[in-house]
Amino acid sequence: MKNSTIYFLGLIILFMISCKEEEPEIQPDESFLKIYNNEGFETVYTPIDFVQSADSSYFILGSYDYKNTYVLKTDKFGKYLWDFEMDENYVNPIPGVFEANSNYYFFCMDELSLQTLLFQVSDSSSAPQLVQTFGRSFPLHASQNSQGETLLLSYDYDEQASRLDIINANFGLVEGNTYPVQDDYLEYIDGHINRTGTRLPFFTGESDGRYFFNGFSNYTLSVHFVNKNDFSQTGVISGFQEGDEAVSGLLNISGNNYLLSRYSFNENFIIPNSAINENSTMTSTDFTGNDHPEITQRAFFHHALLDVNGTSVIASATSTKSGQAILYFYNSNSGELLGSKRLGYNNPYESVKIVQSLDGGLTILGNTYITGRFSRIYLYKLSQQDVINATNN
Amino acid sequence: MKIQLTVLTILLFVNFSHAQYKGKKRVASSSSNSSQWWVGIKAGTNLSDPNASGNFWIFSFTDTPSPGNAEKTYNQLSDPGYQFGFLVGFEFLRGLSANLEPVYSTYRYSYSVSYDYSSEEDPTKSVALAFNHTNQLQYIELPLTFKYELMQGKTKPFVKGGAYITTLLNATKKVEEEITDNATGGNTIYEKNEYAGEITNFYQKSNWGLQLGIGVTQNLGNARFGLEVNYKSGMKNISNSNSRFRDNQFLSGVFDAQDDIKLKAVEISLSVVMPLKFITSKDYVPL
Repeated sequence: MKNSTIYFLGLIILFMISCKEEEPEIQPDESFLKIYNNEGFETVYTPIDFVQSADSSYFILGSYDYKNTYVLKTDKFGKYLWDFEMDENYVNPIPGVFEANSNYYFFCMDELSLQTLLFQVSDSSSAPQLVQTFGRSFPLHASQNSQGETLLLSYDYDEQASRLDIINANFGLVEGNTYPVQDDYLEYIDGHINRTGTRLPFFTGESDGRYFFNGFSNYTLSVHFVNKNDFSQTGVISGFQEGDEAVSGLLNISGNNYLLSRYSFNENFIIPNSAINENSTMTSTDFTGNDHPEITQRAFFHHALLDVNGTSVIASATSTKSGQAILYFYNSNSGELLGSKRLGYNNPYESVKIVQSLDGGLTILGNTYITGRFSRIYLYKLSQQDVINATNN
Repeated sequence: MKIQLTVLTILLFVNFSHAQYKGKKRVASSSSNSSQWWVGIKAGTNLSDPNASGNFWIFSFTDTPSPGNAEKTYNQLSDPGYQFGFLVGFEFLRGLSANLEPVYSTYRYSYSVSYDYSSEEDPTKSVALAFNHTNQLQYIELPLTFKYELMQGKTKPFVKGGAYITTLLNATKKVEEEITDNATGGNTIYEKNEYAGEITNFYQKSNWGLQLGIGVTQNLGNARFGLEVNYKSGMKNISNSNSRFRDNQFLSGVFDAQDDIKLKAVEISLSVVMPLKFITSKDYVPL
């Protein structure tokens, strides 16, 4: 074969080798953004809470038309599988979705009796089934404790008091305690539930030695630390009358170390690592930290503890005045800000909840407004590498 | 990419030097009487013919969209791109040559999609979002073609066919948005916006395809001018389906996700090549 022919063939072969296809960098379930949309002109969808199942699929609890209960199931890619708009008698779905034995459970309220209802959804069926009715009016927040039981915060209309109870694994009510309110806050509770007024940052949680909740008592919206055995109050972080100052989120890091976010009139503060005496009386303004003027007024926060490449990291999700969802990442030991990440362009995005995904990534639930008008639920998944990059790890 | 270009440049240089050296020696063996090297440049324009399968959006629809709603309509052979590059031909038998044609190519394709929201209570109330997307892809392409000249003489019609490999350099998108609001007191387009951004990560970095073409060459002096038309058929999906739904501030702002696309194109090129061996006869037969 002539030399020129050999060179010619060599040229082709070497260039083809150099153009070898590179491996895909990412799998479609690792990182995605999905907006759950339909042609409904009047319908307003609002996210409340979500869980990721063992098969990496997602179950989302939300509301339609402001207060009615809505559930939606997706696959692990965030693709819509089914949804269900519940009867309009079932209102006020609250944060606190959990999964057990391939069933999803959530709480909402009977619009007429005001009682708390526990519903169950099978993974293979979209029709939620009523499991239990509890004689607790105005449910506000639920979360699972380390024993697999459910803390339920409610507002007792008859006694004019906040209530903290436990729902055990058999869905039985374990009587907790009431925390009397000295002023009539029903108007605020009603505005919160029907979304005709300010949404209030009710939450429940647990530290090593205490349960805690954010609810009304005396004259303010306050964080209450209570004994795990008898639910007696041991400490409090008081807000300000009519909710102008309050703690907007609290995450127990370890022991008595917490990440705390709060608002004070038009300002928002994040205190990433604060030692809190769970047996003392404090006010929210005792906790000083960085002011975040970029965050919306009286912003909602959701905080989560993440394991990022072996480093303990706190993620704080909230919404900005510029219409973006924003994540702040902090070192959980030092409180140092590691990085931040924003979501949203062209249309407003708000965040409601974040959960570390089974693959080490981070999933954010929130709502967006298409053309600034049609409120729709979105699910935004960051890959593990995205989180590592965002935290500069 | 730099490595690929370096490899290509070195090999071309080696090949070119080798050819020149052989020419200078003027050693005319019997087997080389019918062979010739040609080098030159080519440039031209192209029209893309995107072949899309399946529509994808950032949206996941919780009901079945009405006919026409959320359907992407691709424009065929309407968006011109261009290409220019080099041509190295090895005529190993008289009238039959193998050609390497490394070119820089841009392809443009466009599509439109609209999303409608209609009131059930009052059907006269609606809002429509219409988007026109224009994507531009920049590739380095390396076609290997075989050309057969149908006639001899100064004017030579030919047919050619072959395959090509591509490496993506860059991809960008321009979006025009129109919002028509029939629910707030009017029925005209009340908002027009334009957005643009880079979307390289949403495409495959390499591809390959087949091409067929016809053309004609004309000898003028020592040069050979050519005009050719090729139909190029990309054989792989150019979109990166793995990153289709990955958040990109720009794409999520216009609710779009890349469809699976095999890119076809009609390409028209002009070329001029020069022989590397000495030519003595009127028919450009080398020594």
